[in-house]
Amino acid sequence: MPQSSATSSRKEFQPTSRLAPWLFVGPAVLLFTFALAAPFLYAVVLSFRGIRIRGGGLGMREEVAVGFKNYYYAATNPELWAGFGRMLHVGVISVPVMLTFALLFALLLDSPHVRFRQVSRLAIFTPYAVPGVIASLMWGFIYLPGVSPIREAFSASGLTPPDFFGEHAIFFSIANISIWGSVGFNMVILYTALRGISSELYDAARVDGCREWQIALHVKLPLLLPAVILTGLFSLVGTIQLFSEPKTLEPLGNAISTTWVPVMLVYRDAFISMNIYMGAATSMFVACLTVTVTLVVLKFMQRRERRKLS
Amino acid sequence: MLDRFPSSFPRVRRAFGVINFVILGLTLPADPIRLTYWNWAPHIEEIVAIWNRQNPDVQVTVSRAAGPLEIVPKLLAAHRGGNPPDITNVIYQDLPALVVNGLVADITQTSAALKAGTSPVAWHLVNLGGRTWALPQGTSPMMFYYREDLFQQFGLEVPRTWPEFAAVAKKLHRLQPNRRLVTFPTGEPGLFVALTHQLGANWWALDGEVWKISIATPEAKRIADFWQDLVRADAVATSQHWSPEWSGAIADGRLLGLISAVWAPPLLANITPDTRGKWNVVPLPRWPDEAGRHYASGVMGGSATAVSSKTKHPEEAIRFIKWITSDPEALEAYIRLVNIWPANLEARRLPALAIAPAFIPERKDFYTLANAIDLETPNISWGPNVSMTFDAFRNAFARAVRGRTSFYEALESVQRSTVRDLRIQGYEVEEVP
Repeated sequence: MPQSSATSSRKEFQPTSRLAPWLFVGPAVLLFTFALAAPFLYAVVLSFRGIRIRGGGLGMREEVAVGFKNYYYAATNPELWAGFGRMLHVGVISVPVMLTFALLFALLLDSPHVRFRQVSRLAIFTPYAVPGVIASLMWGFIYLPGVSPIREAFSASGLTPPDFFGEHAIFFSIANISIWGSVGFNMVILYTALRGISSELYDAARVDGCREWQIALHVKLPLLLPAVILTGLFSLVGTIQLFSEPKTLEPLGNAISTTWVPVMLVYRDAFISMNIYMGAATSMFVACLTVTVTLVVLKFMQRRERRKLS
Repeated sequence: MLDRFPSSFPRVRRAFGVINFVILGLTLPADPIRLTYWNWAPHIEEIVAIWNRQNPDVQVTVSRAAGPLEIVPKLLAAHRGGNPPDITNVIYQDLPALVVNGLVADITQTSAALKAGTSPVAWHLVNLGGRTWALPQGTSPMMFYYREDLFQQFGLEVPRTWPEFAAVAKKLHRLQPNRRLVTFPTGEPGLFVALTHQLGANWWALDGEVWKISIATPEAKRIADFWQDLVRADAVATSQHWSPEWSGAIADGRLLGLISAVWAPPLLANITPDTRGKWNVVPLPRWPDEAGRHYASGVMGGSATAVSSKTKHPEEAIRFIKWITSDPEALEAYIRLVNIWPANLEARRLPALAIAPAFIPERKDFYTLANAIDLETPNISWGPNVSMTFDAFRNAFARAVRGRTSFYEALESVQRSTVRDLRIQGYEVEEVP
């Protein structure tokens, strides 16, 4: 009897066990299909089409297949490459500075002597909770001549106020906004990784006579490297998608064009020039770059892991 | 006036209900025809409510689906999706884009009679290729607003010509290094284009099957050189109109003037309510040309109302756009609530336009002035890719203001971008200097 009851219960269980993985995977698959794969494929389709005029003058517009023409026009548009250059310029400033600060804050918060840990952690994290556009508007006011409190303070003390919208300063001004917004987030990732490190290692180091800063440098930092690389990767991808900061500052002055970074160029093509097809083609360049950067960094990490194992 | 609507509206509805019930007896009351209307203006619902009260069989619903800057892409998307509005408001410069995309209906047949009662400039703007595509709502005669108190304080003469304007700007900068006369806003291409209209420039012209593009012209070069001189001499600011930087300077008197259109006073009142009564206004300065064509103003903004090419009720939609662009009651409300300057000539005699704007109470002849300027504005036309051109202008002139190129080189690059875009789309283009 017990045997038969066991087989029947197994029979009852089996359909669920076949369904269960699908239930777990389902939401992710659905989201991936409808929020990522389908729009991506649609963008690929759009990038090979275009509007052409039938009949001259007021002749009607028609959507037709144009082959690789959009890609040709996008690739020969000097603004795309200049935009990548400006994006890189911002990234070269923002990614290292952001990572350094995130790492520094995480290590400081993790050191045993720190006071007001909760409050400090929250204070550093809060800027991340401010939406990018709002943050950019706020910084815009801080930068903008006539309303800038910093410029006012400089003038009041008889100094020449800094021009945040200057030819070179603008890269730092934009980088500063993204650093301010993302240090907290990356700090939390690094801090969490630090908490995962076994405290026995620290005890051993202390027994060997290590000071706290030496522990940070020689024990915590090497163990933290995978997390640092991960946050670095996120920041790199974030830089490629740089949009809301320059887009928000664009109407305020003359320093930022409407095609300042590649994603702004995509926006301009699709929604201002009303050429969604060209926008789709340009966005493919951005997507390619994102995927390439991600693969290169991941490959680098894998090789490092493998070397460590061997 | 306003508080009359809520009380009378249900009463009218009830009255119609009773009439339906009594007269039709057994037949059910027919469902009213429903039209959707895209407009971004504040208070537009209150104007449409008048129509809905008078026309229970054609009920119009306002939708704020898009602002003026995004209406073309959103209308395109709505048409592709098969769900466009029946009626839409559109800025004149976007109308050709709507026409070539097949979004608006040809209303030539039913609207020819309205030509006589409409401002000629506005009528020209809604006609393309010999057909009528929309009915003009308002126009925007341009004017020069200035702080009369500060002009007196610094001993400045009100400029009547552009050379006088430049002299005043330079004099003010010399006397008061922290103040400027006006700004040169690269973010408002429509202003620059309108200033070239004053010399008779017309950037787009449809000649049969060919689009003639005239952007980097001798007329435009004159305007470009004029402003380049002022910007390089630091005699004008380079902040953007309506930006926080600009608004702050307007409010505390670091900027003494504004080149704008008839619709500026309520906007100025919003930015700097304390300076009410300190402003005055004159027509734009003129070019002291002996021989050349020159005008009082250019075309800077203004909007029209169009019927969708896909509407199921074209007759009712046309009835509505005729009503909202020419009915005295509709325009009275439109003027009172939205502050437009009507394109309908009859409506310019409405009592609401016989008084001074609240912000410039001394200027009793403000609207008489507007009318005179409007009648001396040249007929110009816009092209099918104005938003693209304006975007190119913004970028090229921002570079020029930063000293990277000359202003005329910026114009040449705007022309190149415009022609390239039109050619890629398959238009036949001719560049006319």
